[in-house]
Amino acid sequence: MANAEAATLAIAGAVLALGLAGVGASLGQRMAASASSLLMAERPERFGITLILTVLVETSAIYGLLIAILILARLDTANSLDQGIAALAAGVSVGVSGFTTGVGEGVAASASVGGVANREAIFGKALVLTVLPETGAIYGLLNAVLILRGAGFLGAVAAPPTQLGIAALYSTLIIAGTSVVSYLQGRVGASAISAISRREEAFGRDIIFVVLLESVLIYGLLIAILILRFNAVI
Amino acid sequence: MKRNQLPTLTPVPMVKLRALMLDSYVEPILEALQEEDVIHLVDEKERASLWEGMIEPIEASAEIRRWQNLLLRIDRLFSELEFREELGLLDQLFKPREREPLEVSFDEEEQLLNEAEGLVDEVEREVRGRVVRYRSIRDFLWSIRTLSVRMDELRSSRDVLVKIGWAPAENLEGLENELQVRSGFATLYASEEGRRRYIVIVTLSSHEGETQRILEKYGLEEIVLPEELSGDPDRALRWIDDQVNNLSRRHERRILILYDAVQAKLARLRSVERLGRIGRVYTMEGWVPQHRAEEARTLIEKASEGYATVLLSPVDEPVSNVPSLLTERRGFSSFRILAEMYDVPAYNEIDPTPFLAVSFTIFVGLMSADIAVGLTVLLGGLLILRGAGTRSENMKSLAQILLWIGLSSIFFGFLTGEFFGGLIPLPVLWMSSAEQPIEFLMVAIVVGIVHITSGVFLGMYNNLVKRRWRRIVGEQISTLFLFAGGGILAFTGQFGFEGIGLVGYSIVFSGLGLLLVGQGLSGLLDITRLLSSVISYARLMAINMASAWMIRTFILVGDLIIGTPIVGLALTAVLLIFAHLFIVFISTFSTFAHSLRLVYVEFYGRFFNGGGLEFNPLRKERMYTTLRTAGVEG
Repeated sequence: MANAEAATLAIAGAVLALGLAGVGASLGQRMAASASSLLMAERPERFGITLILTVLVETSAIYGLLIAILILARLDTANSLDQGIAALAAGVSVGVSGFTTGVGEGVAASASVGGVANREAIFGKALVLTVLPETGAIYGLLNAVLILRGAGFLGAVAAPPTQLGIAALYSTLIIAGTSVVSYLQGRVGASAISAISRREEAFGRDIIFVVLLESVLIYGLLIAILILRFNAVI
Repeated sequence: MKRNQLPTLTPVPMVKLRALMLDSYVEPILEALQEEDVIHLVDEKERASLWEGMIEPIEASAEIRRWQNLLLRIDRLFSELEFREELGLLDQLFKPREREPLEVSFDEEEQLLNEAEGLVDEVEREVRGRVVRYRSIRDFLWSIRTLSVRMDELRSSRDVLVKIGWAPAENLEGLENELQVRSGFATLYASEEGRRRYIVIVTLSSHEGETQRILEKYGLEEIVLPEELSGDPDRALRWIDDQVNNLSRRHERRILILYDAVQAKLARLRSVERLGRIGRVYTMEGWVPQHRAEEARTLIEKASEGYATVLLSPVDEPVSNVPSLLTERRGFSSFRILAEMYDVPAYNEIDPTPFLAVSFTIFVGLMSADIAVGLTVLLGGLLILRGAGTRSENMKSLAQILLWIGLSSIFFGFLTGEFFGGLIPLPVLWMSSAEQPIEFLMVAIVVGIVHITSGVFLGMYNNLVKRRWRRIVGEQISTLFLFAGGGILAFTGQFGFEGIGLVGYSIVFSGLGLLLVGQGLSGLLDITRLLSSVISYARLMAINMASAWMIRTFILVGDLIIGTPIVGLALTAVLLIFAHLFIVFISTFSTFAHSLRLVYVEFYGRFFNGGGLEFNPLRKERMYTTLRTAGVEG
């Protein structure tokens, strides 16, 4: 039987997971879909590839949905306040990172739509640059899954660690804070896509600039994993 | 492109070809070279050459415009005779090419080219009148398909006047009102959609004059049905389609051959502008693969009947001016589109294609390790190979890549015991990220270190060839020391300054020292770069875990709804099928992009400079034909 306070916190986590990630993905998809719609007036034959670019933005919402379902399906696992806090932290982790990624990918995707409007041949390169900001959402999802696993939501654990809640909150704080990089990567990616639509050969150099920002994400992930590791969550 | 003889680690060695030829032999020489895809021409106007100062530039723009106009006319005939397939997205991917290339002889091509303008005039005259008319009739018949009417009933008789045609949609209301009011006994049928409304008007013959005046006022374009049309609209449509097909078939062969021939002619004319001229003598400069140099010489001498001189010489200018031709490698060639997506390797640089092929395939397999996903991707690849792969070399390569990554996903799916998220329980032969995330993370990091190290060794090879000793010490050896020392500390867990820990620290500090010696203080930035590169491979585990838990979550939802009375099983089945296809779609694009990112940034960054010039030979782009000559295909 779930503890009432813990269950409330866990439900809040599920709501934030899908709510934040979904809003971000929606905002991003709006940008991409608007650009695609406008393009159909001039180039209806680009429908297929612009549809792919627009749908890809949805992935961060899927990650939020995944965590929300995992929390709600195992709500009875939330027996202690720590577990409730952990579920809340997992939801915030994937929600905030999903939000920034959704918006960032949307910026890049709408630039990709503009790019393929002029030159269909750059689709592959534009696709790579559009997907790169997803790294932030992936790390947010990874952090959330590790927290939920340590808290017993993904299968039985011997006993949740004593510092579960605080460790989960701190790791989430790092991941959520650094996830702003995903939005910024989307902005840089959009510039890169504009560049390659004029000169395809710029792709190799431009991808380096987009990826440079990722170092912060990676350091954030490393610290988050160390926090969870040293507090016996994983 | 013919197979290259020797696979090499670097692009194919090139030889500079210079030729002098008499003006009357320029066209035959270019045509012979074009047929064999053997020479990358250099623009004489832009480059210093042996004959600088004496060469006159060649302008062929008037001639090019003439053939471009002809090509436009042929293109319009293509549309009118419906030679091009209009395909939706799914058909573009999966429908095989309908038309096999036509076999054509060199003489037939030459003859058609000589008669090109006359032939196009003749076809246009026949086509314009009849096809445009047939198209209008066909559109009209489509609009009345649902009506129970026969073609005989749509013809005028002594007492009854029948008018058929189309009018702009905005005029329809006015036409209807005026016919009803003025004509009195007119009956009108009009199609309901589209900017053009197809109309049938039936009235008394005595009202012909008034009716005609009204129709002219509202801009009706009359359609006259051929006498041969009979039966219901479907039968009439078949007759129309037969007429259009007969017309197309009558001219198809000549028009398709002419299309390819005119394209080739334009390519040659554009190449002529790259040549130089001194009086009646033309100069040519270009690059040919070393193992085909004598073949190129023979082609030129044979086509010129001895009125040409060829000089072959080794590379005598900066490598940035020499084009790169990558070796054909069985099994790896399909990955060339991914390698070249980043950049073309410089002439004397290592060809990264085989390394990209192996690492990309492994990464995608690791990230989407699931037998069901792999089978679906494999099936998709086979369908595309059979479909779009018959129409485009790039799509053929993409399909082959999908086959490889499908197999890789299946392989790693077996190792991790994943079949659609555990829907069918399988033994875990190696490890599962869902159950052992930290161990999987460690494996991902080790894979990353191995990948980066292989790039370091390639970078060392590059620097050895160029004798850049300081860079070998500062970039490659220092990195290897840092990896070795860091690996000892991390895997033994001995972080104290004693025993094995001391060994580890010694190696690490030696590496730091070499880094400073080789690169100075700026080399310290390399440490953070190396650390972030290694940790970047954590995405292999993260995406694997994300994919595995996505599938598990959908199965969890399925478990919740399967108990619903009556529809539970069907709903669950629909959900799981949708989930599977969605996950395949998302994971394919996502794993594609992230795997390429790892290769381009972490691996290429250790050795690859790029900036090469792509070998772009003078070639005949045959879309619809193939040359009928023994042992040679175009």
